[in-house]
Amino acid sequence: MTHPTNQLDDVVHQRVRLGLLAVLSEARRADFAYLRDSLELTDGNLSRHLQVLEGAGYVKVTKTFEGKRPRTWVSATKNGRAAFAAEVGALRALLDRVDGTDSGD
Amino acid sequence: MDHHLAAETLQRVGDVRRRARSDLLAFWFPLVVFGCITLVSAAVVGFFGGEALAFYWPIAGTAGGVLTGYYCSHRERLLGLKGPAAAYVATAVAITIGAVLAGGLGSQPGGSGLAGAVGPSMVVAAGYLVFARLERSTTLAALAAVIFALAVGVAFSGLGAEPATVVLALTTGAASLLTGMAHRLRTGARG
Repeated sequence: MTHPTNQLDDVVHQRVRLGLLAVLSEARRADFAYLRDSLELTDGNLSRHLQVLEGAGYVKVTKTFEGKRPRTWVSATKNGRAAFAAEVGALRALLDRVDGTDSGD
Repeated sequence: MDHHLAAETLQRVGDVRRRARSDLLAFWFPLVVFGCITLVSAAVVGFFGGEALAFYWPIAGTAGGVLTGYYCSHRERLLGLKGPAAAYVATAVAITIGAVLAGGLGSQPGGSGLAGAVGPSMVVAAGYLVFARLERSTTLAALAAVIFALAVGVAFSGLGAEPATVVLALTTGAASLLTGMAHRLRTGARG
């Protein structure tokens, strides 16, 4: 049986990217400012992580205009939601495995 | 990966998700709007009779739905976080159709008309239960239980159709309004 750590996805596993997918798993979409503020990131840091997630096909970034004001919306793709669920599942499996080992001692 | 780190990561993910869910919670508004509309329906029955509700609810219900949709959309735009709307819209449509059918079928000639008064409240209670599941809200679940209990109480009260409609409109309207206001006060400006 594969050890749960082998199921961790390097793209998703990173702390900030996991946080981004956690927010997006609860919402249809979130804007750049909301993500930046809720995860206490800088603009540059958030952009870099979004590029990684977008490159992996896990989020979709849409730029819109509200009046003359540009706005960037981010949503999780189907693959992104699946990857997030798999990551959380792998983390839980890892904990269960450790708990099982502990109780067996 | 260290299991302490895994536990900490899961904890942090849970916190982030809870915060996002909490930011999206704004059910106080539809509760206040539909609470008021329901209270006014009691006055409509008092002034114009129970038949007037067949005209009142399509107009007032649609207006309440449009107002709620506008508020939620405006709030989400300001907040920068849009919730999953499809399930809410589907539930609202199901409640509307269900309540109209229950009201119509319950008021067929030959019957006491009481089912026509109680049926829609039961449908609304079931709808609130679905909303409670969607919002993971015990407050909404409790409100659904209160409305269901009121409907059952009125069904066995021996009241006639119109008095039953008025009693249910006043009690469920007040319960919705007070729950909505209490939730708004508790969540503060965020709501």
